[in-house]
Amino acid sequence: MGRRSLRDQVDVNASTRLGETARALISVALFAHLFVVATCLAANLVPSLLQQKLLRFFRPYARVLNFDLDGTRYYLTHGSQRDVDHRIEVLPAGRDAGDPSSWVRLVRGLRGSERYHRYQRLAEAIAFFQGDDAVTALVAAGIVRQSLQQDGQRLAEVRCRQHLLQSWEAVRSDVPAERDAESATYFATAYAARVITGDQGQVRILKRESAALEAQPGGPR
Amino acid sequence: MIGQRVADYLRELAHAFGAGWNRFWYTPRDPRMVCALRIAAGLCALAFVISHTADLVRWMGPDGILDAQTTLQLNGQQTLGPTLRYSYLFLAATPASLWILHGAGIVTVVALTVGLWSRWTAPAALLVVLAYVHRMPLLTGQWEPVLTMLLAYLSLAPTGRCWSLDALLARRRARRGGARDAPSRPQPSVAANISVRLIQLHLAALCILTGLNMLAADVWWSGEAVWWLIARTESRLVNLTALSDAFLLVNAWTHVIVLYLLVFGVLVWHRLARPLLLVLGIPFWLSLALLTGLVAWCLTMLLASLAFVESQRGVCHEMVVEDR
Repeated sequence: MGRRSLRDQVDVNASTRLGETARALISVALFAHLFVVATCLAANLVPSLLQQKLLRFFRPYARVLNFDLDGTRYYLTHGSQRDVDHRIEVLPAGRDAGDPSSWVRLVRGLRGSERYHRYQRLAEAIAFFQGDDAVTALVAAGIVRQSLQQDGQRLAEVRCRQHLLQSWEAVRSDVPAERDAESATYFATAYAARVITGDQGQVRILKRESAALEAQPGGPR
Repeated sequence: MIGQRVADYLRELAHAFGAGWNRFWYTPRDPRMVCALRIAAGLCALAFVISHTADLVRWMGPDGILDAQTTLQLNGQQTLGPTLRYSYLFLAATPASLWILHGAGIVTVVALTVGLWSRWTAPAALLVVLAYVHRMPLLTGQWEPVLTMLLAYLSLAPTGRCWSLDALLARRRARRGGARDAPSRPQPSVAANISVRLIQLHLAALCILTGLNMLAADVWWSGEAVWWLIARTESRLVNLTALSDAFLLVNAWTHVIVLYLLVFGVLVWHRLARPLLLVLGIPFWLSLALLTGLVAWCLTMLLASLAFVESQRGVCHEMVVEDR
């Protein structure tokens, strides 16, 4: 019998006949792990105070290995304001903000690809944190800086728009603007900011306060 | 008297639980399933890492949209205390170093997929995927937790025992060493069983969680939810607005999604229901991918449900006994 097959045999014997102590230790580890996973999953939607405390305690394990879902929504849709498509649009410097064709949508990749989804998620994040100016300004500044330093293009404005959902009645409406899901009535601006870029490339983001609009599924109704 | 009965009941309960627990976790399993899952998870991980290639510098490079400084600041603002988001990609200070780390990540995941040094490349591939997840947590979705779960559990198993370069090299070495009695079939392993059981439990729990989360909103009860997914013109892969004329079908589809997720999590453990649920999973996850555009997540969930396939063929403990 070769050296390798002998080692294989030893492995098999060890794995098929685990000692009592080994089983006990593995069982404790499995139980603890499953408890952490169950807590992380159960706390996905609306964590209770107890779950929040447990999650904080488990974080060194659960977060490092990405077992905590950390805000990832596992429900596809709730038909709410969050569950619409979001997009980031930028206005290159010197263009007319009033002309819809001046705005450039920030998106790359094929629809359905992860590359495409990442741009959508960035837009969703801006809309989600629209009340937290520090977070939105950081992300917006990142977009502006990337455009300036890597693409050599100065931006004048950044905005995040929500593509509102068309109700099934609206699809069959007699009003053309209601029937067309791409018409302007189906878009709302969740966040908009003016950009000031200094000579040295310093970026300042000035949020437009009137930008946030209410958006409901079924949009124009 | 009652005290004695209670004590007997508790003793029997503890005994039955212990026996069931041991049978569930410590029955050796044919490692071919974890080898198949290694290939499936490796391909998913490869797709994940490669999906960053086109925009690598645009997102993570110096002056990228989410350069290291921005991500660290964002993480710091969302979390009190240490963020615990460790990623070697934070070390890349130049585009060149970022490309080198990215290339090394791809090589590692390819090595796992083909089963080269799989005992080491499995945890290394997990490390690679986690590095991207923690580098840009703002951009992660439903896919990443499933992918990292698969890789984490497969790291525990002997995933290179077959259909791998490791197995091929081992056979060559054995032949060169003159061994003629090398086992033709990989030997059952407890580690393989623990790995598969963890994947099964985690997957079933994720399906139940998703189903329950859906039921928290009216639209899943009223049967409109599928319409609100169809109406997401920038996400869906096919235009199904023609279904506005068949709203009963939209209602039915909505209810079927919730029903399947909840039923899968519970009844997939039943021997007779399992094959049916696994077969129904194919049209279920593929249609969900078309409806939501979440292609990678749906395909990974479908592939992960492979973990239940082998259970249908019986536990390997009996195979071991037979072999002896």
